[in-house]
Parts: sequence; C-alpha cells; structure tokens
Amino acid sequence: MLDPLILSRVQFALHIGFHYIFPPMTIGVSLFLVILEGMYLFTKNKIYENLTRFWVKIFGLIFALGVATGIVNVFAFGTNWAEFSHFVGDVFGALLGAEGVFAFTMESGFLGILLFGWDRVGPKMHFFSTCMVAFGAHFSATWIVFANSWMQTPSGYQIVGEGLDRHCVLTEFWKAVFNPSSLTRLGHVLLGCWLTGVFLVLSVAAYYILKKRHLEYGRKLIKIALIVGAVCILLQTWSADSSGRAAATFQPAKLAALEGVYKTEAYSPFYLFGWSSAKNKKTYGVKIPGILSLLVHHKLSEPVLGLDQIPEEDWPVVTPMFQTYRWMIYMWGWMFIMLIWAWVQNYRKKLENSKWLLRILMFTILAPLSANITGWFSAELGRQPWVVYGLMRTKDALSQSITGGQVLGSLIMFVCIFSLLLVLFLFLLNQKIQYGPEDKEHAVDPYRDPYQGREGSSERKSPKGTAT
Amino acid sequence: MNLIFLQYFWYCIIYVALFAFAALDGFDLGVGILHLTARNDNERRLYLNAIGPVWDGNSVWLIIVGGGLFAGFPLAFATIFSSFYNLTMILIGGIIFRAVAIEFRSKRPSKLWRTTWDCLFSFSSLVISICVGFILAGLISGIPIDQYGVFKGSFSSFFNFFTIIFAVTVVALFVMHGTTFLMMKTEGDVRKNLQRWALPCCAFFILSLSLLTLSAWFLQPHLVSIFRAHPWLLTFAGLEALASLGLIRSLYHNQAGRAFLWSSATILFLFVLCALGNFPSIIRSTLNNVDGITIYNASSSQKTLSILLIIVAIGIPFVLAYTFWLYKTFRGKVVIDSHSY
Repeated sequence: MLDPLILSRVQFALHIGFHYIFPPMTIGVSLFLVILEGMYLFTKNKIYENLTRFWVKIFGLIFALGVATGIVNVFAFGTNWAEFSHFVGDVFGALLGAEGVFAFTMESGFLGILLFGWDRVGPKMHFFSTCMVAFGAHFSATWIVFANSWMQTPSGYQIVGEGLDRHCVLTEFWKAVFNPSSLTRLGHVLLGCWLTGVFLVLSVAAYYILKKRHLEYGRKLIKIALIVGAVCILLQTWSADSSGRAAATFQPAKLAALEGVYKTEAYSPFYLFGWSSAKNKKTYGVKIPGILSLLVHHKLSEPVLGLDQIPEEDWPVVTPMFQTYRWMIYMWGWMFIMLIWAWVQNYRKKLENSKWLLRILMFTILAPLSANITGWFSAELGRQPWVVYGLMRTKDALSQSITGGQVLGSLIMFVCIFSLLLVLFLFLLNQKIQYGPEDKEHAVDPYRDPYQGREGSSERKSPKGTAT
Repeated sequence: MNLIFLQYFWYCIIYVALFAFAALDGFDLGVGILHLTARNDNERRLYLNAIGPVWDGNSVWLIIVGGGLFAGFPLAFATIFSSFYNLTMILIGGIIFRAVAIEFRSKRPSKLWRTTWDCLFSFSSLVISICVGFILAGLISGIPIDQYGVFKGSFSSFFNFFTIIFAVTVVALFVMHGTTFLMMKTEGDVRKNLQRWALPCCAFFILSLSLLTLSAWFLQPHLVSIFRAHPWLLTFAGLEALASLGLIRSLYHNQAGRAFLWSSATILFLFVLCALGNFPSIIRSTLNNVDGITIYNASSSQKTLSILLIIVAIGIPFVLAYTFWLYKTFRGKVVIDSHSY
C-alpha cells in the first residue's frame, strides 16, 4: 500500500533539496567575507570591518541551518538506501571520508573563531580563520560534488560478488575522484554558489539603498558584488556549455531528456519553452531547429542522440526534467539581464535612483536559489532510473528492512521540521538585515537580557554572578 | 599492508571517533540537559556560551563516526542505520532541533521565545543522548539481523534491561561530564550552584555504571568472554574504577579541571571496555547460526582501507591542531560579549 521506495525518494529529494538552499549561500557569502575582511585589513576602513561583522552574523545563521539540515544526508544513505551504501561504500565512502576529515572539520573548527573570536585573536589571525572557513566550505563542496559525479559517471572501480553481496571495489582512487564529469560539474556548482552570494549581497544592498539606510555600506557592497557577479555569470555561461556537452558525451540519455529529444535527426532543435510528453514521445513548444546540434556538436547539421536510440526502460523522467532544466536557463537569463542593467545604471551613475532596478534586484536572490535547486533536480532526475549510472537501479538501492509506514513517519517529521525552520530562518534573516551593519552604541541591543532592569537585582546584573 | 591489520586499525579508528564524540560532544550534550537547571537568563546564557564556540566542531565527531563506518565498513553502516531506522530519525530530529535552538535562543528578547528554545535545547540534548545510548547498546548486545545484515525484528527489539541501563548510563555520563565542564568554565555563585549538583550526578553515574557492569557480566556473556580468555585485559576495568574514584576525589576537593580530566578518562576506559568486549563484531546478531556483522565480513577492500589510512594520517593532525587552537583561544571562564549566543 505505502510504497517505501516512492516515499524514500520523496524524502531524499526533500531533505537534499531543503539542505541545498543553504550551502550555496554559505559558500557565496564566505567568498564575500574573505573579500570584505581582506579589504578591511588592506585599507583599515571601518566600513569594511562593520560589513564583515554584519555578514559574519548572517553567515553564522545560514551555516547553522546548513549543518542542521546536512546531518540528515549522511545518515540517509544508511537508513533508506542501505543496499546502495553497501554497493558503493568501498568507493563512495572514501570520498565522503575525505570530505569529513579534510573539509568539514576544518570548516566547523574555524567557525568558532570566525563567529566568537573577534576579541580573542588578532585581526590577521581572524582573517586567517575566515579564509580557512571559506576554504573548508569550498573544499567540502568539492568532495561532495566529486562523490556525486562518481554516481553519474563511475570510473576507477570494479564489480565483485553476486546477488546481495554484489558491490563495487575501488581500483584507482584518483580515477574515481577525477571521474569524467567531476571537474565540469564542480565548476558549474561553485559558480552557482558564488552567484547566489552575489545576488544575496545585491539584494541586501538594493534594499538599503531603496530605504535610504546605510547608504555608504550599500554602495560598497554593490560595487564589489557587481564585479564578482560579472565574472561569475560569464564563467557560468562557459561552464554551462561544457556541462551540457559533457552530459552529451557521458550520459546521452540525460541530455536527450533535458532537451526533450525523442528522435535522432539532423538539425536537432532547441525548445525555448514547451511541454515534453514522455507518454506520447513528443515535445510540443516553440523551437529553433539546429541550435541544439550547434550547442552540442558545434555543427548545425550533426544529429543529437535522441531517446529513440535508448531502451525505454533506461529513460529518465523526461517530463519534469524538461521543465526544471528550462527553469534553470531562464534564471540564468534573468541574472544576466539584471547584471547588465545594473552595470549600465552604475556606469551612468543612476543606479541609486533607478527604483525599479533596485526593487527587482531585491527579489533576484530567488533566481540563483531556484536555479540551484532546479539544476540539481535536472542532474539527478537525469541519472534515473539508475542510482549509480549504468550499474545499479534506484529500485534496487532501497533498504530491505524498512516499511512504508516508517518512511511516512519520518517524512512527516521532516516536512514539519523544515517548514518551521524555513519560517524561523526568514524571520531571523530579516531581523539581522533590518538591524544593519552600522555600529549602534546607543541602539537597543537585540541580545540584551530580557530579565535585566525588570527584576534588576545586583546579582542578575553582574555578568558573572559574583554576588551571593 | 595486510587486510587484517587495516581492519583492526579501522575498528580502532571508529572507537576513537566514538570516544572523541563522547568526550567532546558529550559535555555539550550534558550542558544541554542541565540547561533548564540554570536559575536565570544570565546563567543560561553562561551555560550556552560555555559551549558556544565549540559545540559545532564537537558534533562533527558523530558525523565522523557515521562517515568512518560508511567508508571502512559499508555493510555495517548500511545495517546499523536501516535497522535502527526509527531511532536514527529521532536522533536526527534531535540534532536539528538542538542546533537550531542554540542558534536561535538568544536572538530575541521575548521571555516566551527564550523559554521555548530553552526547553527544546534541553529536551533535544536528552533525546540525542538516549538515542545514542540505545543504538550503541543495540550494537553490542545484538539485534535480530540475518547474514546479509537485513533487520528481521521490530522496534521493541531494541529495548531490554541491558539497553535501558546502557542508555541511562550514557545520559548520566554526559550530565556528569557536562557538570565538570561547566564548573571549569564558571566562577562565583554559578559555580557554587553547580558544585551542589556535581557529587549527586557523579554518584548516580557510578551507580548506573556498576549496574551496567553487573548486567553485562550476567546477561551478555559474549561481552565478557574475551576477559575470561585474557584476564590481564581486566586492567582496563581496574583503570575505569580508578578513574571514577579520581573523579569523586577531585569533585570532593573542588578541582574542576582535574575532575573534567578524570571524567574524560572514565569515558575513555568505558569505550576501551566496549571495544574489547565487542571485538571483532560490529553488530551482533541475536538470531541463531548467524555471525552478525564483523570487521571481517563488513570491511572495505584493502585498497580503500589503505587510502583511508592515508587520509586519516594526513587529516587528523590538522584536526587535532585546530581543535587544540580553538580550545586554547577560548580557554578560561566564559565571558558574555556582543558576539555571544
């Protein structure tokens, strides 16, 4: 009745998807922390110091959510996907182990200094900690993407055993780490993360300028974010192109599904928008013939491999993928246009008066966030029906001992927890943004003791409770 | 390097990580359980900020245990977490709530807001400790799994006299460890209040530890067989008793730092005893004619284990170095400033 497979897949998509809201923001913001604190050390300008402190607080909040939601992922392989864990453990475990030992500990260790060490270590040591946290965040993402890429394009392994004992054994570590899609996918993911940081910063800065608050701070942020953003969006364009072509080479079924190509024919079209129906084996919509061939093979007439060349049992879930993939591209377009618009207005020195530009910029943070999620869905749905491409099907990866009821229970738990977390996160993020980056010596301290002053005994006022 | 050596080595690594988890995250879980005993908001903030800069790094050790099992003993990883599905999910729920409670608690001045998070923080710390206790107890006392590691029991298979005593001991251990840590980090009135708690906590821990030892001796004969075969290993039991006595003595003399070290030593020897008693099994099976999951049938290949050895050899010195630096930076009594929780 309750299918543990479907429920487990929904649950995995839910907690990975929810988790994936946060790490791209931490990675993106960590880049800005390094830039801002570096600028502070270089110029000794108080504004940069305040900006760093401000973003560190936001970083702390996002990081906490990222860790809290990320812990689920480690255990989920064992709880719901025990057969998968056994099958890939020999290879996959080494990659995740490296992530844990090299990256995650570094990140969490230095985070303490980054958040609380302002008065405990010198400015240079603090900057060093900031760099280590940023490096840890990036390095962590690196191992995770490599492990995931191994699931997409496995290499450096060998299969041993029969039946329930069938599993992969590592033969060449570096070949498994640098499997064919590792580097392309890593670039694509990191650029997505940096763009998320750029637009988070732009969004906050646009808000301040619109409200005519913290103007000096807003201007500095916009200037830096526009430069980083321009570099990232151009690199992302290039990275997207190579990712697509890597998919065409190593996972042709994925590319065919992303583009809704059912027939292998010359002048393969690119759909601007439309609807792909796996049932009718047809894609409806507005198309430009030859563009897909041009993108994939750099030649208009060269046919792109269609789903007709692939057995139907190996088809990914085409209908949703076609949409998530297109959404990602639209979001890229939105970001591109916003950056050009902002650059032009900035060049004409009219940025601060362009009300509409600032208003839209405020909401453009939704573009990278949704692009990250839809991109991830496209990549993972495109790997189906395999959990490890070509080696193990998703339906064989499920734990044998779990029941639908158990998974439903945990799924409901996650839905409740995550809804609560999302509301709280937005609430506190807003509070921090409203508080702003400026020094407020006389302002109300949000961290004040609520009991202080009201009950006001000398014992409660003294910070260390020395009175008896 | 030969496979058997690597398997032994990785078994030790898992237990070392477990020890690091219990000795480090143990005290901040203990502080969490004690949180509601603090008498006012300032005291609660002192408690919270005593663990503020370190709790996140500490909880990484639980991930290392999970990741270490995944890498070194994939079959054990798969079996443990799919068998203990419900407990793991409750554990995860606890970890999420705890992380969030620490982060959010002091963010708003409202009394209702803080009290709610205080309760959640304390409750989730307790839930995490209990779940960890039951999972560890289940592993060493055995659960019904077949030769492929597929769980054949039900939720009630995890609860019996031994596992309940084990979970209680874990909670008592963490509370005691947390108390000694807080005593080290506070002064004046706050510390005096903690002192009142310390000895009863310690006494309760020793009581449950003795009960646990007795029930292991009489109810879990497989755990003591190695000690019957090699009586000299009972030295560790002696050391465990010695550490407990040292703990009582230092608490009696009001030496917090020393008490914390003795408390860590009790944890160390407790895990040494568990590791020895359970060896070479990782998950015992209670079904007849099934070996259960051992380090021999669950381990990764020789190649992977050698790579893991290299990763650990390179990585762990760094981890120790910055953990040490972190604790050094935040040594001394807690001070609340504008960056605190």
